[in-house]
Amino acid sequence: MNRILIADDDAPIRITLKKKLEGWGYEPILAENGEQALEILTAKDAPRIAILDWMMPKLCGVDVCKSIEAMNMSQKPYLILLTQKDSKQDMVTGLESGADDYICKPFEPEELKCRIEVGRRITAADDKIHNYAQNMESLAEDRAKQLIHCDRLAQLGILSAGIAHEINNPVGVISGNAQIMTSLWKDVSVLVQKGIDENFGDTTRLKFVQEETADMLRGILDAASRINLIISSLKTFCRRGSEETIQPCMLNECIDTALVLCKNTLKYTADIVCDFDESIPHITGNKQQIEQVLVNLFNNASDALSSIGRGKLTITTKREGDYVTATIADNGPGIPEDKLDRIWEPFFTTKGEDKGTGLGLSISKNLIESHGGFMDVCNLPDGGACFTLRLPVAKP
Amino acid sequence: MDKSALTGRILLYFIPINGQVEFMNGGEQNNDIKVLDKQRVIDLMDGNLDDIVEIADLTVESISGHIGLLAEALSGNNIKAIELSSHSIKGTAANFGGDVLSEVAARIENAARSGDIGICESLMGKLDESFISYKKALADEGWITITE
Repeated sequence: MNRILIADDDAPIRITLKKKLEGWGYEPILAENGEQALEILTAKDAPRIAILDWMMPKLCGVDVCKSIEAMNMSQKPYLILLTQKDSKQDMVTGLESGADDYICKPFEPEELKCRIEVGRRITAADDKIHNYAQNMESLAEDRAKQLIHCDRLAQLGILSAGIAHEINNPVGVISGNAQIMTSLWKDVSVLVQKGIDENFGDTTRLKFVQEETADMLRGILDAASRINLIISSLKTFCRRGSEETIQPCMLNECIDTALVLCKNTLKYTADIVCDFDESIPHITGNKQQIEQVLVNLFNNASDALSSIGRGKLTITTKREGDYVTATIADNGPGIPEDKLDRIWEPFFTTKGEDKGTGLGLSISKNLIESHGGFMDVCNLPDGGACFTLRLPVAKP
Repeated sequence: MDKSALTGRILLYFIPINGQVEFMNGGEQNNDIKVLDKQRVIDLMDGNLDDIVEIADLTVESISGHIGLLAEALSGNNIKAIELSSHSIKGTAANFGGDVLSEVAARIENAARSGDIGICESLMGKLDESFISYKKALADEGWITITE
């Protein structure tokens, strides 16, 4: 019910107005002087409409209007001056003081009712605009935080590319030297074996060297190779945007690269099941961009699965007509049904502010669509979310 | 009712037996002004007799109090208080159909605003008479009870 303040020092008029307003479905709040009126109008949850007598003790209606006007309130009440003062000059003075309407006594009930209704419409529109503005302010604040976060991520990307480049050289030295040592070991191994056979020195130690050294060298080479793979993937990933190469590529390979990049995240949250159709044809596109989309989906899946501790991530590829399809399905909590339609919106996120920017899926969808493909999402009947990418088969 | 007929004029008036009052102004005559505009009261309160009786009581009580304050202000030559009290009588009476009483109060208010206490004093008798007539008219409708 709309509350309306009635401020009039004259009891019969105050009570008459009270009865009229109640009859029209409003909830009247009564004040006997201007001070009371101002207190009520500036309190929390103040009525949005006020009917003020001009001549009142302590503070007159015009001064109440002036005070309210001076406060520059974000939701100023709609002020109706109801007064015996009926000259044009009085009306000008009243409206200039900040009153929104001016009615002369004795009032005509139907006219007053209509004017209150005007006030109700105006305050309702004002409230709507106010709420909208508040939402926009809040949204702008969130966006600013997200943009700062994006900027940090971008800087992190640049930093990662730099680190990858710097690591590349020492890893090359390790890898190269390990290869040379592997080659040299073949000669040394013969001598060690001879020492063992001839009981030369500490044979137990020689046996240990003979058995372990080759494995150790192989371990170094494998680890170096793996570091190379990660660096290569990282450099490729970080190069996106600067390399707009459109080329035939295999979706399965893109998935492998993305999995390498996300391996560290996924190993704590997901048991990965890959069901690749090895016979799927090439697609045409920007490999880095497709990998970027996949990394985003894997990271999302990892976040979803971490909320249940650990779960299963199933990645499937196959051909469907003129498209190659990849489905990435997890058995996490899924996406709330009422948010399914909104997840592609920029800055929309179901993750906390500190976790998601709300840009990943929006960018992913744009990238896939720029390849002539489609991206869909659904919740699975047994729980979890399933994202599907469809990319057109490369034209011969 | 045309409000311009009620304000801003120097008027002569008398209260006839039938409760109607005539205002003379430079040869103009206005027969619309009533001691009690009964229809306005009924319309104002949507014909609800309980509400009419409640507001009638409050109105008489309020006007009576303001007339007392007005008399005090006059004896103290307090021109601002005269203006305020007469303004209140004017509004309260007009709200509840007391057109004649409201008009007399308006004339006192105007005189006070002009600083003419003499006119204010000369109109006090008329104000009392108008108030008595107003109360009688209300009592005749059965909306108040006059106790001596």
